Amino acid sequence: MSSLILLKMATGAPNSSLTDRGNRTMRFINAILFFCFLTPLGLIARVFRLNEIRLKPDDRRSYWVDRGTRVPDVTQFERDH
Amino acid sequence: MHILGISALYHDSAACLIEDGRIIAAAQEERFSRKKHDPRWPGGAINYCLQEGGIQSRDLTHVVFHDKPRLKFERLMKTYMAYAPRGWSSFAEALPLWWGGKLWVEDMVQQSLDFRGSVLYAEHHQSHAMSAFYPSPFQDAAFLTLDGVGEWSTASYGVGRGNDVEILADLHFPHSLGLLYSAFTYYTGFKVNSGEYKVMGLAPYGTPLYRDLILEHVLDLRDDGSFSFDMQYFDFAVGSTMTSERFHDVFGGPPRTPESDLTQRDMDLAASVQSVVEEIVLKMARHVRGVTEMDYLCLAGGVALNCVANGVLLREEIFKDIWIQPAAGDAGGALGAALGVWHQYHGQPRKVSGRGDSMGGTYLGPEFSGQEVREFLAAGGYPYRAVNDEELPGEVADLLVSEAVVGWFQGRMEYGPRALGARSILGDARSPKMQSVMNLKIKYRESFRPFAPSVLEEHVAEWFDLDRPSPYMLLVAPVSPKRRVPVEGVDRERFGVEKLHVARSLVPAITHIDYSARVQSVSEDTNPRYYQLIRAFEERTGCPMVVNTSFNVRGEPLVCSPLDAYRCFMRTEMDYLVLGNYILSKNEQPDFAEDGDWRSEFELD
Repeated sequence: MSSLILLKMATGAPNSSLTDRGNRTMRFINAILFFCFLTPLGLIARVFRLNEIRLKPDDRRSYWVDRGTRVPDVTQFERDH
Repeated sequence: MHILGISALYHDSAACLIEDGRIIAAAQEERFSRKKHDPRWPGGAINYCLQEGGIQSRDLTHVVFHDKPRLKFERLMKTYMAYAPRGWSSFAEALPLWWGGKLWVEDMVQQSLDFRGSVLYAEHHQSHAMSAFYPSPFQDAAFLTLDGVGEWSTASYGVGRGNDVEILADLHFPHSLGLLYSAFTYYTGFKVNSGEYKVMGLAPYGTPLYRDLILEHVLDLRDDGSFSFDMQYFDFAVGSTMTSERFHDVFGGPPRTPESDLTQRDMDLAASVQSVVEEIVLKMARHVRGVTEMDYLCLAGGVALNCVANGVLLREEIFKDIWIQPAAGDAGGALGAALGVWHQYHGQPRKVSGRGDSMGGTYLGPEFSGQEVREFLAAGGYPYRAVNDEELPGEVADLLVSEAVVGWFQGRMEYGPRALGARSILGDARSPKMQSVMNLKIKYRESFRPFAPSVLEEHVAEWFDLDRPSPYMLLVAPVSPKRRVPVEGVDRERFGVEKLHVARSLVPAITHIDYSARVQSVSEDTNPRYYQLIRAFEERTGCPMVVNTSFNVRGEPLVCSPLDAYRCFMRTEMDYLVLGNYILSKNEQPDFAEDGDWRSEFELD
């Protein structure tokens, strides 16, 4: 999350022309992010099965994800995570 | 304490203001911007809410957003990682939107409201759950939320007790009942996030021939209602369409071209996905009943607008009663988040009145006084006839008896997608021609879609197989057998949408081809003027119901202001417009000149 904040400060988002869809610099940054960062990370995650996104059925008894009983944490309202 | 709830940036943006736990105002942005399902920041709705509350933004204690954008962004990135290097074009399209605004909700709040106070966030399905439970008539209840996707959750269930809402378990993206329905909405040629209710309306024309194919190939369903997609059949995760080539191979061809003729296959596909959704909802409900041991169930999320599935769920009697948030889609998240801050964040107690829910009939939008309407009519030079409160119901009932189509604009606008007698177009439910007239000359929409009845609450059980109120038009029930008309001769042989032109009951305009109807019960408590109108109609005809459809044309949001209503009135073949106590006859209106073709103003849904 801190990297998001740093990127925000560096680019001046959300009020920067950098964030315009057609902006060449933005497209370049996006391409770097996608092909040099997300793609290799994604491939590694796939090999080592680290990505929590499941793309096929498996043999579990239930697909519900249990949150467990918990005391309601009101501070969750303060976090955008 | 004033709390402003906001839902925005995906579809159906909305705002809601509560004061000390009481709902003051709520409205969707589309009503102000006149763009259906408007996803943009709800500036118009926010301004209205503050105005209705008589406050300024500096008087707000909190602003709360209905989901957690950064958690959603994390899901987005992990989805791209799961597919990369596929998905580049979708990524290049999406990232500027996130970078340019979606990630920075706090900045948007500060800029649009000049608000420097506390900005809070609730999880998307938590907002749905809170919108389902807190306004419900139950002290304790289970809840089930079902929609496309929030951050990670696509469905959740849990328990509401007093002022606490606790989520026990959820399903995670991409496995989503809402997205399954949207995939078939896309495949049958309708618009995603908009045309789902058309698929529901189309389903009775078909046979669920593809049901087993869906359950064998597309998803793996467990007895507890949980399921997993095989994502090879879908393209929505990082692609530009909902379904993949493999999906098209299994179901026998490419998606239907939008606006092309509907075939029996499209109807069978609609029937199939509707059947699967009903089966999943029932399995989930039984599981939730077993886990929570609660007698009552609250529902929210876009799938909870599937009133056919809701009706099936009610008739299965898994729970003693169910309550569905009338703004069940994303718009309702604004309300749920705001109530959540009051009850959970501040720990304020919740009082159940014992006299129904706390939605006030969901009449939470703008109202226009008699003087405002008069000034509008005078400014335009529009001829009208003024009647007093006592005369109005009888006068309008007489118009309906003469088979006139009447635009009915009264009181506060509805919050949620359904017109419930504040911004409605009304007709005689007994008239065999009313359905065709309304579809083709008023709404300019597909002829296969039936209309809904507004029926006096005390007469519901006499006309429908329904033993309780349905104030928000979110339950479909069969027309009572004693009110049905046998279909004989050549009428039995009719095909497809032709079936809708056969009278199947004493109220053919609201009876679908499977004898079902999407019932709205009307009580004197929540909408006395509408109740009195239907009562006056009953006194004249013996029929305690009228046809009620939303006051708009296809692709247009529900009308909000007298100007919106007058425009819609003049653009269509509606006969009369009733604005408060003022009755306008189409025959007496001056020519209504417009620049260009108004039909191009609204994108078809």
